[in-house]
Amino acid sequence: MRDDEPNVPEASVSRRAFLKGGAAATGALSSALLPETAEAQLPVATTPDARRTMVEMRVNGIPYRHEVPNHTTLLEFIRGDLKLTGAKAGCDRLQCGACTVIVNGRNIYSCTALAVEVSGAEVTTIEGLAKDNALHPLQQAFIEHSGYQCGFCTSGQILAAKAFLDRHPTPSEDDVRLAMSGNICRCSAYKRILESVMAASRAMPV
Amino acid sequence: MAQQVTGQAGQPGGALNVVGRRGPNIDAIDRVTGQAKYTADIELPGMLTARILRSPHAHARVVRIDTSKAEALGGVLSVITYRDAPKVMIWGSRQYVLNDRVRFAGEAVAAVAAVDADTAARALKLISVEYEPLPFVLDPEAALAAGAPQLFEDGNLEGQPRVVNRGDIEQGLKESDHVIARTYRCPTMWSGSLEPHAVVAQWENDRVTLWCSTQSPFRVHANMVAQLGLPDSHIRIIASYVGGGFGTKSAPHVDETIAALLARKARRPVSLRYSREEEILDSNTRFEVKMYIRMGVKKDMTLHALDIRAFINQGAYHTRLGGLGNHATHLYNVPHLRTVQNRVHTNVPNTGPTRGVGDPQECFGLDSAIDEIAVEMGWDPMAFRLKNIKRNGDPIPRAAGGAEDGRLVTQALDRCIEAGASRIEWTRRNQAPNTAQAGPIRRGMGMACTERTGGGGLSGAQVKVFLDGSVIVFYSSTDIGTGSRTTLSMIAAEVLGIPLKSFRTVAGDTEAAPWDGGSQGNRTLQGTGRAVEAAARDALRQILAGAAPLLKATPEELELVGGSIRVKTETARTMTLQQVMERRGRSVVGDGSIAQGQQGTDVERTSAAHFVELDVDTETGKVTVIKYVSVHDVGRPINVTIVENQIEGGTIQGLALTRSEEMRFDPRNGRTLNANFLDLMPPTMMDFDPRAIEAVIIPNEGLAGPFGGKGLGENPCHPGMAAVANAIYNATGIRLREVPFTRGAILRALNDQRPAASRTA
Amino acid sequence: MENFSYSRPATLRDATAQLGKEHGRVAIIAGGTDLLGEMKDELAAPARLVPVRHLREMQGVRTVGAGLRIGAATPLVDVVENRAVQEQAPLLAMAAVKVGTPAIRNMGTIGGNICQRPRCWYYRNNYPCFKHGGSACFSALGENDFHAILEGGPSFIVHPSDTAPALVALGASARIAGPGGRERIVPLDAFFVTPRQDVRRENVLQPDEILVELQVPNAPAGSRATYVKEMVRETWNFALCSVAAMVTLSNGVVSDVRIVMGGVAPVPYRALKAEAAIRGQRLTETTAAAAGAAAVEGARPLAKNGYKVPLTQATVKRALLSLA
Repeated sequence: MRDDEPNVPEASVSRRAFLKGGAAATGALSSALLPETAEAQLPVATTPDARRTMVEMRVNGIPYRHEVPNHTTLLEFIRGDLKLTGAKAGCDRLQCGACTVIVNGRNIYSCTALAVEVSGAEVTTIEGLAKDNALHPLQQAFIEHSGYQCGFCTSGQILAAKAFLDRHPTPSEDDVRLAMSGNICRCSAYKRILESVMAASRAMPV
Repeated sequence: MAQQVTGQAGQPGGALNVVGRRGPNIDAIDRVTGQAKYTADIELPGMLTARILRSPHAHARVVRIDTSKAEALGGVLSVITYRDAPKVMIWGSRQYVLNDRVRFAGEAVAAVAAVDADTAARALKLISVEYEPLPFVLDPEAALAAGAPQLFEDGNLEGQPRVVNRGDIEQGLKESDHVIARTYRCPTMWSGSLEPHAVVAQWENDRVTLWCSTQSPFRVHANMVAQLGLPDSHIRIIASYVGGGFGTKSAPHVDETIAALLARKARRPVSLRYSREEEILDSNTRFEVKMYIRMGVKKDMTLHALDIRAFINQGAYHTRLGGLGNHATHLYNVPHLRTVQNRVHTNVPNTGPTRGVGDPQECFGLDSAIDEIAVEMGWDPMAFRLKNIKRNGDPIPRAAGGAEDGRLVTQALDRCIEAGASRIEWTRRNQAPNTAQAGPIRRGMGMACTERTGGGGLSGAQVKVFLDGSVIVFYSSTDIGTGSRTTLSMIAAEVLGIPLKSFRTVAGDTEAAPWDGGSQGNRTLQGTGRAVEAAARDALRQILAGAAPLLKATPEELELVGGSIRVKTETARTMTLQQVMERRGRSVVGDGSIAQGQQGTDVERTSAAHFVELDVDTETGKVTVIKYVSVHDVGRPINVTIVENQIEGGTIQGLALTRSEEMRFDPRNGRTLNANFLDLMPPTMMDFDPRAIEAVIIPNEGLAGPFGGKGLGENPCHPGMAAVANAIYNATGIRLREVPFTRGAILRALNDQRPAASRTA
Repeated sequence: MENFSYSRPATLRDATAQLGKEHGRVAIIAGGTDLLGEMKDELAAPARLVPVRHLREMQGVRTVGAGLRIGAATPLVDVVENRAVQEQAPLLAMAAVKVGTPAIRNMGTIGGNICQRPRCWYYRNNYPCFKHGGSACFSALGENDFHAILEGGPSFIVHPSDTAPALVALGASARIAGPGGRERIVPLDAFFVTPRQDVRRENVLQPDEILVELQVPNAPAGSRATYVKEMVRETWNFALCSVAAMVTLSNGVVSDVRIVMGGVAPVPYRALKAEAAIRGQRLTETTAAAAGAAAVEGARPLAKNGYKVPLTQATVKRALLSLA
């Protein structure tokens, strides 16, 4: 919307389009759009790819065993196979940090790791952080200090912070800035993310 | 039902219980546990994955397109090309969703939906397209030159130049005691969000639901009505959790329609998720602006004449979304003014409003020129601004134009400037550039101002109170990270007297909530916020009417406080809200559809002054921000935490434009070379030390917004470029008139500044 | 990303047996941080990946004699945090910590870091350039802000590694395994190749060879070292220019010096003229500035990267002064 331009015209545009396109379209389309049942069998791809590997890993303490195509990334495995969607695809090129998860105690970018290469590992995602219905101190701190805006990077921010604080329980602010520098917050809520991580470091048992 | 809303909002005579406080967002748990479902997280039974084939050419005709092999591939359920797409231009644009003519490298030419991403990718490779490449043009001025490649039959200029005239510019410049003429340029810059565009389309008979990542569901809705030729009741847009927008999601794009068309053809739900590269190439990014500015002053320190000739590089298609802000017309008093905006189509990707409709770009030019002329006259640039800014009661245009037919009210820019100067200790500033200092580091200070409308237009919301006393706020603008779920709930909580913890929201849903203009242009708080306030009052009225017989009082004698209804004069006569609602036996729905426009001559704006202190390393060209103070008039802040967070984040986004984020095009073929984060380099927590940034809110109350609040979101991003350029000058004496201020630009300028003998080649 | 065959070799010998005679057909994957990006961008499409991270010979840091043996598949984080590295070759730890971000250092390996492909945006956008088997360098007359000022031509890429300049300065060697158990040791200053030597590749590794370990002599007793990296961002960038500098002072005079620069040439660039300029001198503003000037002697900047000359000059000067 242009500055100062009341958006009344938009409404009239949509109403005009409605009047113009309306009735005819309804008739024309309804017969062509008999719905398929949701359960209908999907056709399969032409050539099932034999290049697959059985992947086993514990994710948030739960063992999983899935056969995947070799080129499946850890992010695709977590989101697609395990339906854990807290890790996000922001760039798919280890350039943003939204896909951060913890593998064997270290934060990594799951978009650029192969699931087959992580086989046998212990993986933590954001879904595994709260224990016994209690939020992790980092989650608590991100709430109290509003360490986010849109939230798309937040899973990654919290996991990067967890991997760091687990090894460095009493960091300085500059330590935290460096540790968190691989996770872009495009809303740039950095001041509050920094406060959140510092607060969590004070709240977490050393 | 539309109603005019004017005058001061708020509880008459009562202290505010919710509004004006700090506190976490009401949806915080969803955000920190990974439970918030963004569009890409939605999975429906039988859902297909879509991919788009994009043009490698900046300008070409599609001579032949053969999709037969792709269609024959097992697992491919639909393929579409321009032959399947409606000949209807996208809302706000001259673009067809798919066309046989492409006008930027990266434009969609075909799309497929298949059972999985691998199959979709394979199918794309099986589509053969024969292009006839056409000459292309990337520079907006070159695009207007004789013989330039033409994008459209009516030429590359969008409509007529936008011209504003006040007084007599040539006369004003002649009368001025000093005149400068300068050129400033902001290139095309990436300005997007972390969440790429995503759409899920699902048809049920001839009705379609689209989950999408948009700021403005009803703009997408209007576009879908036009594209699909369906009645508006057959289209539902849902934008629940949106991972940032900043303007790049304020308009419909090709993605929503492509997903809908593929889903209709495949008779399956379809998910379309942009890659990062696609997101950078095919959402509307920040447009290039080149400004030729002439500015004249009188010896008495008044701004006397201002002439801006601007070339706005809109990119290939977008039409309604480019231009300058209103700084020239609305920020400073100037008797002789002319602005000419040439909005030009070129073969760079689509651009649009991004945290300002040209405001940061205009601010860079105008507030740099203000600084330059003040320096040349020997004036303190802050004093010069204070002398010339518009203050309360000053004449000001009521709309975007030159005629000053209104009067400014509730302005606080003077107080912003004074507070910022005090916080940064402006008196410590170098009187002249700090060129004589020993060592390579030069420290300097700069400032810049901004202003904008706080929003307006048509807004709607509903507030539903359940039998258990809990509340859902329904609205169809969005929470793109601005905290609107929380802010709007706080407004309703304040009106209703129901604790905030009882609130939930349904955001961004065109079917669940009334029509609303969307979340762009600073408008959600002032627009949707006022609608929520009205809806809450409507709900309160119904609740009190229901309670009146139970409490044997008239509704007027009752109040709802802290979740209980009581007789004002006899507070022991009380029932809990839950008791009243259960006796009522059905929920209450309050409606609040409103229309806000310019009423009368009072003109309200929202403004800010930013101050920066920085170091320039003259050997390496590195700039380090030492302190940055962002002082804003937001009227009355609804949630102070959210306001500060917005100011701090927007400030960093503004600073990012000073250092990187320029989109680089290959002049040989028009392709974007750096459509990735490693090359665009958005800031990390290590950049622009967040501790150096201070958000200051000036106490004020507005008229148009709820409880005196004013729109804010865009303003914090505006002044960074100008403030930093002015500070770099104050530190070193070099004047940078083009962003970003790269190492190369700074080292070159420093080299040019040296006596000829000591320059390097 | 195209799919590929994948099976874990039991031994190094099995691993080399999986490799072919043709570059690109089979790829070795360690951290995968560069390779997987190349595959997603379709710059590489190997039919088979050979994982090596699990191979014992390629893991970890050992002290052997007067030096370190660092498995090529050792994650950068383990190089950074390793006490022996910190004590015996601190320059390497300083450089390794400048790579990417914590997550990249958790994933990426030291071998991968020195073998990574160029970051040139023409290369990464799959232009038919020399590196892709074409016959042009698009940066030469194109958008070359980040390209080479030294040793450029016919390709003007810069070497992107942070650890490579440090390893060259330390006098490290690469232990390389070939088919059938064959091995060779290549000093790192002969490991990297200029475009004039081989325009398609950045090092001497043959398609059937694996970089197994880096052999790093201990830094000379009494030496001091630093790694200075200039970037657009404060972190998470490849160098505009970087300087690995190591000096030994005797009675306040530079008796031994190594200066190796990254981000300015297609290979880690040993600044021999700068070394000569500072050798035998005290480290002062004047002598360090002279060494900085000598470091960029012969620089031939392109249209848009001239700033790298004064930047590199200043960075060398500052690196040396920080060691005084």
